[in-house]
Amino acid sequence: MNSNVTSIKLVLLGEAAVGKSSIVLRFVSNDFAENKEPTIGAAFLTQRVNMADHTIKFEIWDTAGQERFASLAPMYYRNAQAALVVYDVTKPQSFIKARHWVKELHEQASKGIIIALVGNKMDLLESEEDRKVAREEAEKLSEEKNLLFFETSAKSGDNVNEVFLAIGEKIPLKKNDGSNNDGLRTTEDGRIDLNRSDDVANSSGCAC
Amino acid sequence: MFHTPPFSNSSFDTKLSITESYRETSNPTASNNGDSRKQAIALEVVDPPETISQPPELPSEPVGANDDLIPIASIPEELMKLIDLFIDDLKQPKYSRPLTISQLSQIFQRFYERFDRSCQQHLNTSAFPNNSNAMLNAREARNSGLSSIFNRSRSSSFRNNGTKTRTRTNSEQNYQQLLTSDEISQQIKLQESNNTKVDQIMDLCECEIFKKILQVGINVPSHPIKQTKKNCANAWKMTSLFRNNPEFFEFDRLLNIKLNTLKELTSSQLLDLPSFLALELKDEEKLNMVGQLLDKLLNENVSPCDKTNCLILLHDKLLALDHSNADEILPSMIYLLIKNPRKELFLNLQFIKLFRYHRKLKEKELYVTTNYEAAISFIDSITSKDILPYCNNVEELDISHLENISNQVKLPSATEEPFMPDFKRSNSLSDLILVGNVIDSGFRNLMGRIKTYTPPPVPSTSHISLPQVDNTESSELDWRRYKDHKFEDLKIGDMHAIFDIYVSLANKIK
Repeated sequence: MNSNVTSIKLVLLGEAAVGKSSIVLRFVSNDFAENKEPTIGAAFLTQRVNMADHTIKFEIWDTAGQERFASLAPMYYRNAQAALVVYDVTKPQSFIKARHWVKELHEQASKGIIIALVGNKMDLLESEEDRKVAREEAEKLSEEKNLLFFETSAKSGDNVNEVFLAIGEKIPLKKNDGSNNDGLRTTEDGRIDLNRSDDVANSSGCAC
Repeated sequence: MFHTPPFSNSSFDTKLSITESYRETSNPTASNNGDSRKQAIALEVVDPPETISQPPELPSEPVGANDDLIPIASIPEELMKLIDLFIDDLKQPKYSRPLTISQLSQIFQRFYERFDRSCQQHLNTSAFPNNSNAMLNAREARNSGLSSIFNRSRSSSFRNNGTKTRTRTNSEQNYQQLLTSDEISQQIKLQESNNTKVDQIMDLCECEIFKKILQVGINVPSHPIKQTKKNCANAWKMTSLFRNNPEFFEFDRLLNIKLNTLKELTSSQLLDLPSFLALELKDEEKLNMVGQLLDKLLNENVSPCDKTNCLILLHDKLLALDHSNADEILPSMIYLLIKNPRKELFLNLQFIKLFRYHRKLKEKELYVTTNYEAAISFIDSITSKDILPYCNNVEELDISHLENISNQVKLPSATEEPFMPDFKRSNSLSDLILVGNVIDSGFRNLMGRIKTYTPPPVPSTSHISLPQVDNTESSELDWRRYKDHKFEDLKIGDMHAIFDIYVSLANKIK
């Protein structure tokens, strides 16, 4: 049912031309297309994903990747619950930039933001020589900084949906039973929600 | 599912409904993912769709696809009255000092919220009498508030696998009739359509308010300003609205000067603007055409909601010009602003941010507004040092002039600073008033007045009301007696005293 929808603001960061927009386009136009909503081109997109017992609505904010506009990024990641930091596996420079973004997000973005590090353009790797960013290096960074990590190909669609599903799983849910504040005292799975008021505040406070 | 048969509807076959009630319903997610291989997570818990008795509309339906999407053409009369009252209220000369723009914004935002609530109430009361199911109606009335109805219908829709819950709810059956799946879906549909309607009415409300303000004029001692041309009407409005905050004008003026300078540099081929913005100009002609939308944004649209819609349109057009991703939309926006330097770009941005109903300024509206803001903020931050590497004939440049730009920028960015804390501070003020929600509304009004509406001053002292208090020595003690009290600690007697003080002050000042 559509009613139990958690809206998640997700911001895309990464150097220009690493494939940020392509990843999102792949995500919203592929298997998930059934629930596609009207969008404004590729800069702002929304996509619903059905998880086990609830629906997550991703509100995806794309950003300009050029270094020149880096100082404007805080405007875009303000209040974001999730971020995709994208780099190109064939461009070491883009990985360095990704490191910067991770650092900045940890310092300046909202606390508890879920960050996924994404190495894109796996389709360009015909041999291991083409790879310029070692998987181990990225994995190490992810472990240190507590990031989700994926290597994707927006072109073939490999691993793209998995990124978003993993983020969706990590999103702390507003409790369904938080709304049972009238005559029906039953709670989902028999749990009692002690943080009800907090949840209500959180859920109404998002997306603003 | 905890479905029990409705008892009040004679046309309902109870036996049938009982069997239906206790049938497992399919998980609605099943309808969405179908054969999707990749959604393993969702599929793990999805029951196979086995029910055939399920009403066809129960599986999830896109919110927007309701058949009741007939646009609402006008605001219901009852609600219209609220707007009139609000406008009247705005015209009352009850503030001792001119309101800052953020205070004014908060007054508007509070009104929007009140209006939103009234709107929902209105729709709910008008919807239920038509409902043949009297039980539903009665139950709505019994619930504490609209939010609980909404929440309950939301929560009930999720008890998909809830065999456990059935037994528990049965024990409460004596006093709480439970909803059948039909009723639930009906209620959800109703709620969704109501939400859509509320959204529409809220937009209409915004438009109406600003249309009316335009008619009656913004000055408190109302001297009607007749505006025939929309163009100048708007110019008058925008500047009048911000008249108590000269720093906004200053920022806007400097921004405009800077835009003109940049445009001049570009058109005289001194500055290579596209490469400075890392923008690949694909179709300059068309891009400039889009620039005309700026005039629409600034001049033709009056209400904040029209303006955001215009911004969305502007972005859509930009994206349609092959600028199909975010790497290009921000630079093209900046390019557009520089090539079409207009006055009040900054004022319009602030106007949207302050006067658009905050709850509705979200998703793509928020995105385009942020983009617009980012573009302006980028232009604001450009210094001569930044553009120098992209300039031809550096020796021909008027360096002092360029330096001047960076100097000009510093000032507005400094004036921008105090705005945010101001906003927060006054937010806490509104929080303070909100404490009064627990008290009865009449008293809340009074408290609100004491806190926010300081009485109008004696003509000679135009700014602060404190000097007046010094003149009234007899009441000085009383006046100050409660200044260190917390609202929560006040007793009824104290409140009486405060009211007396208020009356005596009101009488003195008249």
